[in-house]
Amino acid sequence: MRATARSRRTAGAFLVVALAFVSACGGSERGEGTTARVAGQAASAGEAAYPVTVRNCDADYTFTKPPERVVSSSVPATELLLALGLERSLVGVVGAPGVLLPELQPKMAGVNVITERTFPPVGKEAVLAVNPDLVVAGYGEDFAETAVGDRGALRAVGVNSYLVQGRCGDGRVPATLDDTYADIENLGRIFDARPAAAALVARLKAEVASAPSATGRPKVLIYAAGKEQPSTQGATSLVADLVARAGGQNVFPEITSYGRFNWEAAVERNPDVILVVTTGSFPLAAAEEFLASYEPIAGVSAVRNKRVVSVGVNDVQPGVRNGQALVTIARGLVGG
Amino acid sequence: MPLAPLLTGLAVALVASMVMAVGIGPVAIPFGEVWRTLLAELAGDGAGGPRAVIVTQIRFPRVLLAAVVGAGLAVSGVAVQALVRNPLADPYILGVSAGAAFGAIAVIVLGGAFGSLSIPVAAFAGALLTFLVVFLLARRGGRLSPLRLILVGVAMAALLNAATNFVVISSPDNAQLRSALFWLLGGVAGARFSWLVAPTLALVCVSGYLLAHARTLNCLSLGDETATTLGVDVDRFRRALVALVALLVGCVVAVSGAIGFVALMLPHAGRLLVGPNHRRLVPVAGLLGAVFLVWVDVGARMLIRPAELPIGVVTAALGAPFFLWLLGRREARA
Amino acid sequence: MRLEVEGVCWSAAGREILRNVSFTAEPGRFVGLIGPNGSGKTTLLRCVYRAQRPSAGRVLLGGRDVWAVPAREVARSMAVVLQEASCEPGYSAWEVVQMGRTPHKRLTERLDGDDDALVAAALAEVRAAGLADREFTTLSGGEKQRVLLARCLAQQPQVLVLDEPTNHLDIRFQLEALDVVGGLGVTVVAALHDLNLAAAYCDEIVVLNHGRVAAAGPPAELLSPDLVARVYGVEAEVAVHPSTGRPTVTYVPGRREGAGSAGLTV
Repeated sequence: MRATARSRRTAGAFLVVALAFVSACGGSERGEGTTARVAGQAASAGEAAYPVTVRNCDADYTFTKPPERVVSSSVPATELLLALGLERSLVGVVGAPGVLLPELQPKMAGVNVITERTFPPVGKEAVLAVNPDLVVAGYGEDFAETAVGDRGALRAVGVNSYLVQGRCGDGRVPATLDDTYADIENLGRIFDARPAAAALVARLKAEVASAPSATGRPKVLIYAAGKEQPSTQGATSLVADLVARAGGQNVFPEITSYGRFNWEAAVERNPDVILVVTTGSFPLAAAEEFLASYEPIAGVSAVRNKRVVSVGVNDVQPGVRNGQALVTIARGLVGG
Repeated sequence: MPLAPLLTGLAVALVASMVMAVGIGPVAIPFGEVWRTLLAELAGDGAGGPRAVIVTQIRFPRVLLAAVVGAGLAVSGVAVQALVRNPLADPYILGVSAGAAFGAIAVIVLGGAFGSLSIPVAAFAGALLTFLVVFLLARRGGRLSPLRLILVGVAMAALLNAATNFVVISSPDNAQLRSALFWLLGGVAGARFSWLVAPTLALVCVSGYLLAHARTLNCLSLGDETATTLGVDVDRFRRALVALVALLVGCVVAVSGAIGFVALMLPHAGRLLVGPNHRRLVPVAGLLGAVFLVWVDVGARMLIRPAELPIGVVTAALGAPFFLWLLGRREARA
Repeated sequence: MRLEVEGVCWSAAGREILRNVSFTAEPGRFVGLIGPNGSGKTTLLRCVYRAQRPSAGRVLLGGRDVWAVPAREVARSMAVVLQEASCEPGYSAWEVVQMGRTPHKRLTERLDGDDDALVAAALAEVRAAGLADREFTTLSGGEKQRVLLARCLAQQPQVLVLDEPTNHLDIRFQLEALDVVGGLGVTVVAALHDLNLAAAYCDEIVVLNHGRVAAAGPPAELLSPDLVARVYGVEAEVAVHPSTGRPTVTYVPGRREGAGSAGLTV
């Protein structure tokens, strides 16, 4: 009978070890769905998850374990993290839940909102007060001295950071859709959520593929704000990349970063479509009213044929909305 | 230099500058075509088309506005320097432009869905209200001393600038912040013909008044005491001057933002040419200001075409070295 | 034109600067206003030339209260030379003198040949014709005062008011200026620092002390060691000038051990 007791103990020990093994695998999985879970086990079996080094804005950032106390300082960053199912690691976000994509809003239940004001960027104290180990930002300005603070300084106090790639150059380097994919993959590696990341990238790429393709390279004026003294987003901005991918031609390729343009050049270049990048204070209605009433541009093709398309300024920040934004733009370019 | 030939020369230079400036823009149109088109459109039998639109509706009002704003700023600079008897003064010390800026920024940041006229109207309202407050606060015992006027004006400007900055910072997004900052730097891009009306009327009225009272302005430079002995009602004249300068500055800043240094620089350029006698200085400074701003505006639309450079940047780039030189020269003399 | 000061009082910051000052300057007479610093000479003159309003009393110019008529009308009859000659740089001496014509021109009236003639004559009168094209701020103190005097002459006044206009000038210019002023034949009211100049040029002197008229009358009658001691607090001897017959005041310096009676003639 001693053999039975020993074998029971061995079986019990084996069970415990097996359970521990299984739960360890399951614990590293924060994705959704069983397929993801299986894939995760395969991944962790294939390579060591940590330490992970991520190249971000020409510097290396190393993570020795999945971040557990994450602050997101911008809405696009929050949306990325929520779309990757990382809501449980969030200890603070900037921006009211109501401004997020509707499908992501339920995930905000119980998440601490540091401040609802998204502009100007949140300050150092408010962020450090929640004791984060990672700050994920959607804008370069979030790391200014008057905002969260320099990334080197954050690292010195043990806070890691990540900035969406498309905003690293801040107008000097073109931002593209590939930067958004890279962000998702990077976050997937940082959080050991590679399957979720791959799924999100796949979803975005599917959206992009579903966008209709415009023929004839329609000329597009990217109209960002202003009336008699208008501004455009700039050829290095993400929205310019989206326009190009949708088959359009930016009428101001030489204006590289956000700047004011002269209506006379717009009249001369005669865009076929005007893409309005709307903001809270520059809604579509205001833009359309101005475009209709400003006589010097009455003869412009886009104005005559009333081909005005709009995307929100948040839709064209690097993030999960970019796929849908591209679809909207492409539909607008085709709709001629 | 005798006055009549100089004025004629400057007037010719202004007309020539405006003619040339209408021909210069990010869209390259041959000069002959520019003027054929413009004259045809003005005569009513133009063919239309994008180039006609560019020349007549975009460039022509813009060049006109640049001339009016330049002249208006220079003339108000002359008046303010006589008013406070300080050659380093510019009309912004009255606080009026800070009031206009506050009105404009409030509309830009807080009320973007209004009609297109609301920015100039709000700016002018801000200028007017600020003028009234400064005027009432600067009077003491019924008298308006230059020192008190400057102090009150500077204090009001500081207060309004703080309020304006606060509103700017409250911008809900980066785009609006930039719109606000661009407005503050000033410019005449996108000028509409309707914007020309108020500043032109104000310029004509105020210049006329200053010319008629040139002798009185001259007497002020001898000091309040002496001016009084020459029969000048110093206090009443000062009150009228303050009101007129505020009116002109308000109209100008309402449509073009707070363009810096023109009001400070051009009166001095005028003095270097014809001396301080206001009978000569007022028209000369006005014409110089008009020519100057027409060309500065060409720079603003050409230097980084097709993007626009804020005109205040171009004038400041020229104005700052001039100001330092002027300071050095004044100190060398004193 | 007659200038009458009747019972003028003026206070500031609770202090009474002028108390019931009255005197008359008959047409063509040269009245000197003397008194130590702080006696109220400048304040009194400011009330006379309508720069400030007396708290009581009035000033009559040609029988009319100066405050009852517009400043411009007063300026057509009364011209003032002040101590300080401030001016913005850039104006020529000619232009400064030309400003004296301002009260006589209506708003839209332009300066004409007659005005130019008056300006030229005024400059000639003060022997500053050669300075006409020089920039005013570059002139010496004496030259500036002459130009300012010319400006007053261009104003064609009937009453000339001077507030210690010669203090900082060389003696030659002091005498020249007073010669010109005295020779004009207009009514003159001048605040003078120098008792001897006052004695030499004035038909009458009015002595101010602590804001009150201490004495008034012709210099010969008024100037005495007693008056000088009472008003100025110094010892003096008054004698008769050998050539002019006017009084001269000689101050006696403070007593020292072994000092003689040699005095200082100013």
